[in-house]
Amino acid sequence: MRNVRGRRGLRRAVNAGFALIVSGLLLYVLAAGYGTIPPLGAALDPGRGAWTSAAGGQTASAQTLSLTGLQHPVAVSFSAQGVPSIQAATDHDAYLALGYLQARYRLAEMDSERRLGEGRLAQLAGPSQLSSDEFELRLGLLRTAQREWAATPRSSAAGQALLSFSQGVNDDIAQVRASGHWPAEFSLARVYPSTWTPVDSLVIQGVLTEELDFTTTPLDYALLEKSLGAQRTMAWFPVQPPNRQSPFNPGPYRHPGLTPVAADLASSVAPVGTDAAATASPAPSDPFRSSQPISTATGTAAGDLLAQVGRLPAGVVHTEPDSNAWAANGPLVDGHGAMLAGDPHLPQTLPSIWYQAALSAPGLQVSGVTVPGVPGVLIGHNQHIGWSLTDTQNQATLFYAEQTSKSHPDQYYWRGAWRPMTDVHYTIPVRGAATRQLTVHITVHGPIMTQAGQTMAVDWMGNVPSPDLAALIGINRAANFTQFKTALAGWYAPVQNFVYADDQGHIGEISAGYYPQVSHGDPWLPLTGTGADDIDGVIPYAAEPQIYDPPGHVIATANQRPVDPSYPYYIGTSENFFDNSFRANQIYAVLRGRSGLNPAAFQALQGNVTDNLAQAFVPRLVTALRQSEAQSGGLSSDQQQALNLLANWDDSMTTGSAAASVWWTFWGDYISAAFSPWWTSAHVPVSKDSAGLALSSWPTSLTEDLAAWTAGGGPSGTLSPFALPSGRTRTAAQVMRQAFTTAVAHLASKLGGSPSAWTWGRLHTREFPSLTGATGLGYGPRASSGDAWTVDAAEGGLNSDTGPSWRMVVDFSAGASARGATGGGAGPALAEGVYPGGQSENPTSPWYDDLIGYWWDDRLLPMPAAGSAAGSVRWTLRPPGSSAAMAVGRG
Amino acid sequence: MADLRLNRPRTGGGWWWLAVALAGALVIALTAELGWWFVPFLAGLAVGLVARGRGGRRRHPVPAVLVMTLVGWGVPLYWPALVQGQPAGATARVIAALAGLPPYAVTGVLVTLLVAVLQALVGLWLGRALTPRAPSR
Repeated sequence: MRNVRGRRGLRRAVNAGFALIVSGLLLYVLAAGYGTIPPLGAALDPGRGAWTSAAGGQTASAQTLSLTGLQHPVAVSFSAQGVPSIQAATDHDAYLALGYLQARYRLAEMDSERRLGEGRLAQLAGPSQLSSDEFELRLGLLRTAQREWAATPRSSAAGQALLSFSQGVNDDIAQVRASGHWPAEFSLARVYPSTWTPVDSLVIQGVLTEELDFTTTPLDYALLEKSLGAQRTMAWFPVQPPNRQSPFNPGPYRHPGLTPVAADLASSVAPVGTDAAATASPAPSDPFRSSQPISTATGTAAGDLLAQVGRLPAGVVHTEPDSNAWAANGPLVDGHGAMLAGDPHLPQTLPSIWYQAALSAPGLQVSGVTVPGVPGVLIGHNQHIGWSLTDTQNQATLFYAEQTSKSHPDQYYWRGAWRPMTDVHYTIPVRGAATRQLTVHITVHGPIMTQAGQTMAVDWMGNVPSPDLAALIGINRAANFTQFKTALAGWYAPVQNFVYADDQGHIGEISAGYYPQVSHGDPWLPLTGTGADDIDGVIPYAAEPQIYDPPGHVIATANQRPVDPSYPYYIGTSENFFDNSFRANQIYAVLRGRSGLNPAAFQALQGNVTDNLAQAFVPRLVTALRQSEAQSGGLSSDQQQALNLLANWDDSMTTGSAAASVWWTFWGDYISAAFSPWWTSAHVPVSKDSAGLALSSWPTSLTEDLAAWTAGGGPSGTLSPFALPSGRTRTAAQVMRQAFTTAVAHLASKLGGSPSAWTWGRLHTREFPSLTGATGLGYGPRASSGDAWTVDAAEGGLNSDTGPSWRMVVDFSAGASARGATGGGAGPALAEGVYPGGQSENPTSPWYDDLIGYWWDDRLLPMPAAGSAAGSVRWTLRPPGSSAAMAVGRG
Repeated sequence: MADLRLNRPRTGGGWWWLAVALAGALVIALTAELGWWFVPFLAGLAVGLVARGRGGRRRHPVPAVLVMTLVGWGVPLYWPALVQGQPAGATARVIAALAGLPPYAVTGVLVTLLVAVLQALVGLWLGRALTPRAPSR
């Protein structure tokens, strides 16, 4: 009996013990989280957790809000799509209001972007993002932003704008902190945004610069040279493209020397390796000289660095050449005057990279798209001018193989002496793991990005402090081309093609920014760090590609090489990384010689899905296939039908076109048929950078090669891609026939049925993923027209996620008035734009993705005119004390 | 006397438990608004202590804590939707998606309620385990 009671007592004790342990563990995990699992107790609490984000799903209504820092009341009105028109009495209030509104609708996006640039993603997402944090801290976006802010006079327009904008963001953060109604991203993660500073805005500017300007192509060139050999690499990836291009600045050109770059501007820190610290020494044996073959060590370093880049979040490093902007004037335009169109092609995400707004203050009347986290309108118009941007895509990234020695630890050899590296230390918090310490070594060239095999530093123009915001404010206020050009003189990175039109009927273009020049060495390869290959300077502003009121009355930029081969400066190779000009060719083909152009014509051109390469190439392909059949026969039924589809095709990549599928599949197989024997034979290390080295990525140069060489010409003998490593030769027609056969087989296998059913829409889709990466919060995939080479570009593969991120048409022509168009105030007679997304980042908001339908149907919406009401929903923002603050939900 | 004591119900009947559940739900709901996410655990613990001490049957306490937690967290989830028109379903879908779960509203709701129910059941278990069993009849 006593034993029974004892056993029961023991069981109870064990039960109680287990209950205590399980309770403790459960409460601990719910309270503190475990690993990357957030503390779900607080995160899912119905009253204070992520559920409170539902407040942002409500339609905006009239409100009066008290904002700290405001000097005067500010009126904000919203269009039906949530585009605000800010009317303020001072610039300070206008930028403060913009900061508040951006944060109100995009705080999670802004915080995510600054985390990316400041190396703080792992704090939010755990060890999976540690590699990204380490890369960004090495590269130095944060250091550059800190230097930019240090160099910005607080009383300057840019300094004031940054401070006012930050105040507005912090007003929103304070409101949310008080209400507890955080965006769900914060509530779930239980990691909240810190106070916003001007440096944060400048870091986001740096992130955008990295996305547009940082390239790893020299590393790819190193790996190509090491595998294919220098001669073949430069024959197939030449500096000057072999195909027909449409430079918008055809010359003549000048060569007024170089503009020197201050020593400390060529690296990401203050000058290092001063003479006082230097140790004079005879030159060590230089295992790396650009005249010598790429060493194994350099190949290893290139592979390691490319692997680092491969682990970055999607879209951080630019790989797709894209964006369109064009302007026309004079006799081409209905009623003369000038018109502008722009559609920058960037990753299409929800929320978008853009936040649309109109700002009005004395001397500031601007409407367009802003980048969340940055004050100022990047693309848009004011009363007198309109402008849009495309990426110039010149080479702005140089890699340096530094000379190091075990006998000189933490030093590098430069200009005859051993110099100490500068070390910068970082602490990286990692969610669910130990904090990581990182030391970044910096040479005169820039930060050391890898020491695998070869110590490799990067000299990237994005690390040059660039007063972009000052330039942007100047553009926002410019009234003519002279002021526009003056403002852009201070723009260094990223190099952009600024396309311009004004109310006086003028059009122009300036490809502003730093184009680094070296007098020795091949800049498309890693250069020696001993000093011989250092940057000597940059192209003088006056000699940068630019044009004003060209005689043809049209300017079109689509990331094509802006100048012809006679331009006297190096701006990059065909692979690094200009567009192949197919879009530019098409735009010029549509616009040149036209008359009576109106906004509808520009809008139609933005939606143009004619494949310019197909237009030139398909007739040749059809002829070759028919000749081949006549000579040797053997086309199968499917092949014959596919050939007939091509023969009767209008070269439009529409969803219903089966010929489009045949063409696109053929081109991929053509590249493969021509070059894969060489890739296999030379063991091109595709795995080290599939985005840059794999034939499936359709390297730009190889497409240009085939486009040009199929028609004849090109390298002969063993350098011809139509030759084989075995020595056997092929004709272009034979390779085309082989590729066509493969393409038809691919399509039959993938889509089945008759070739007429192989429509492009079955093969090709677009998708706008959520920035959070969460499935279910994006849009698509949806069958879509267009391809990577059409004006309405769809890039990123057969499920495209990159393309027109904003479409805008601004009409300053006199014809607009005749047509009865009105912009609703001072400024252009007509200005319209749309981006695929919505103004709010909150997926429950009606403004989350409401613009996609307009974008998808190629429709534009009127841009609110600065200084006038955008719609009936109005907010009044007041300085504290003049009105009570209201508890508000987030949109 | 002994017979009377044996026949007296030790923890009340279904109505008593229903009253306990609704009172608990009210407390849970109100404290959720304060961010006191751990109250379902405390409520379960309290029920466990009371039920074991009063010798109640298991069939009553378990449904009672289920009701109090489902109502206690369920009502605050949908209250803003009912009163202010906030998009509770869409929010549930977003929460599920951001948590890496299937992006459906029902997933978000279930996961949230699961957090409350788990707490309450573990609290109930602990309460019962810590309390001496009442003298058997």
